[in-house]
Amino acid sequence: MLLAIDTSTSLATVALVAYPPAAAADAMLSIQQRLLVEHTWEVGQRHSVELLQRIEWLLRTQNADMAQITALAVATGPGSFNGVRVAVTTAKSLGFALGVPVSAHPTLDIIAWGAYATLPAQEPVWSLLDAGRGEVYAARYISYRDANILGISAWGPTPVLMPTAEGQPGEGADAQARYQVMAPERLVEALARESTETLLCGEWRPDTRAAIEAALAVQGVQARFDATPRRAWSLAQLALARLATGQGALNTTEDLAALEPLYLRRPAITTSAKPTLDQRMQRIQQPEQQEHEEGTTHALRG
Amino acid sequence: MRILAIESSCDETGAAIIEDGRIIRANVVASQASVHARYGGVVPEVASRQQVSALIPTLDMAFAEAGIGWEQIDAIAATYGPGLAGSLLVGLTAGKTMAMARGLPFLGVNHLEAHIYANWLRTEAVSDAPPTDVDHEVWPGDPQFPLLALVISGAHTELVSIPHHGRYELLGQTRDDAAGEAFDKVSRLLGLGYPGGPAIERAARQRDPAQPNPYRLPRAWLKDSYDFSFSGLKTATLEIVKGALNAGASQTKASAKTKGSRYRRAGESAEGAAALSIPDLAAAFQEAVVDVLATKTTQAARTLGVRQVLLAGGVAANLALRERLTAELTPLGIALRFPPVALCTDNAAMIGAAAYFHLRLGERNGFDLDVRPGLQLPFAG
Ligand SMILES: Nc1ncnc2c1ncn2[C@@H]1O[C@H](COP(=O)(O)OP(=O)(O)OP(=O)(O)O)[C@@H](O)[C@H]1O
Ligand SMILES: [Mg+2]
Repeated sequence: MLLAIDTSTSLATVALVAYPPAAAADAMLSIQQRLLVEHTWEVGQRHSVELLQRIEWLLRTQNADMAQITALAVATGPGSFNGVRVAVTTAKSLGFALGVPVSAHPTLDIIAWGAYATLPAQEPVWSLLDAGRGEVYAARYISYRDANILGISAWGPTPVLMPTAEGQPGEGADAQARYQVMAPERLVEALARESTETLLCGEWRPDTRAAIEAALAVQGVQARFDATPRRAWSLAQLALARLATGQGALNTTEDLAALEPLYLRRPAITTSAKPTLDQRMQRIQQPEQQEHEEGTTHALRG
Repeated sequence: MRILAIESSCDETGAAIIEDGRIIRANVVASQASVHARYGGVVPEVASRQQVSALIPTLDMAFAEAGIGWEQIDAIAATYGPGLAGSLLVGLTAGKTMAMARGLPFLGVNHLEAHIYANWLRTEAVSDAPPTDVDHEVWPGDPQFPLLALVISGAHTELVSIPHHGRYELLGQTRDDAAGEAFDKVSRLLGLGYPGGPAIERAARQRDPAQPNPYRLPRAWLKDSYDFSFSGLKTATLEIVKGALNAGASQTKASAKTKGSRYRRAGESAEGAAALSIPDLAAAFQEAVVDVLATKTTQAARTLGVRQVLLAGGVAANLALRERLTAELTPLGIALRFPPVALCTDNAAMIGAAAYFHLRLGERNGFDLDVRPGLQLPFAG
């Protein structure tokens, strides 16, 4: 069984899917039929408190135990710093303790894939998540004819998701640059360059949506909102597709060690760094330095 | 019983494999000190991120060091407090998850209790120390109850009476800064860097002990109390530094003036910043801290009638404190015990030691255990 884990935001979602499929059933089962059980719930900031017991419950529904987990899928963010850390740490720990492959996927990809699953979309899809400070995490996805793996009886191709901030992605487009932190005004400026109406999918607070709608109105841009909650099932599909290719899964301890959350924001660092005595004695004239890096309202507790 | 222990309360990632609460089979610590040195202290979000990055390499090294596999692990323990929430979250989540994956008992450990239990750790093999009194868990070489412990770390300064395993009676604690915190703040002030304790100790050693120290710093005795206070000491040190800086500045501005600085302070032999002696000031500060810690601890040990005193926490690494306390306690027939330097600061070996004495009693935690950033020792009464 493949266990999919996503605790990126105050909404958590986990799923178990059949993996690998029994050889005989291989050709018969569509990917849709591989979903065994899925659970999505409002976790708040209690990611670490609630996650493991929900996974235990999933396993119980299948009369299964941890030893039967043969692969993992994890959402790597962006999102709540602590939430994302819990999912990534859980995946690393399970991978280390069980010795099973881990397939890691950005949360914005999962949202976009969920949207493709429900619409035969030819229009661009933008994934959005609240990033705090009135900004959003954003990534753009363009529709590919063969990108829809649903209904394909075998394992299907790797979904080709090409998020870019603006315009068509270049071949070697920097992976990081595909995921951005944007103010609503900048987001809408980018949407204005789309040739068709855009679908905005993901999670946002009412005030964030209001800010985006206001910017859309000001700039005269069309977009639709789809706030369907993201599903671990979408994550599992991306993982199944990737695992089927035999490439890109994290298999070794080194792979697991290298797995990092996709934070997108730098740590909040506020140091009113007064020059040390040493520096002042050397007459290094340092102005009072305020280093203020990006933080997020999602990082709670402590 | 072999325990895989994890420590992630602050800026150190630790994984250890500990046998019977005492024998270190593996002890790996990945420190972020160099990362945080840039900021002069620990930045919580930076620390949390480093915890995620260091987790797997640290675990992997621990298993390699012990030369064993999962089959030989009987339980898993991880720190659940006190500490930084985001950092604690990583180690605790990892510990719970691996316990669930392997079907092993899990225990959350109090980091402060673990600092105390670092005194039970040893490196020799089991056969060298057969259990003599398994019921009360006393092996030859173990600390002997009743005990007095001085817990002195980055965030805590507590004098604790420990009549037996698991019982803690608070005698006194700091009313403001912790001892380690005072070391760190003064070190930063003197431009000696982070972490401050070792830096101040090193600087203090540079002075010639035969010469009289021109600086004399105040002690907060807080009469008739085992409580501590270090903020006044910190302020007094700051005043000396400011005085020296101002003197230096006014000297430069008006070098023609022959009178010297009007900011010159009593107890300061220097005329200006250039004359401020960092080794002397570091030594004076360290001596003031050690003086109060040693005096109060000795007094408490005497009053309680204990035969052994334990040092615990990062500041227990301080040599001046160890020497001073040994000198005071030995004539009274009281033994001072302290962990090796590497086991004084944060590490996972001590987590495994503390976990053992709880697990042995059948204690376990569920997988819903949450981090407790403000956790205290479980004081009786
Ligand atoms: N040789 C030394 N002399 C004095 N202080 C020292 C020495 N070595 C380390 N320290 C101090 O010990 C502290 C770190 O100890 P430790 O790692 O136990 O604290 P912590 O884990 O940050 O806090 P806590 O254990 O209270 O949660 C730092 O403040 C450091 O300056
Ligand atoms: Mg500590």
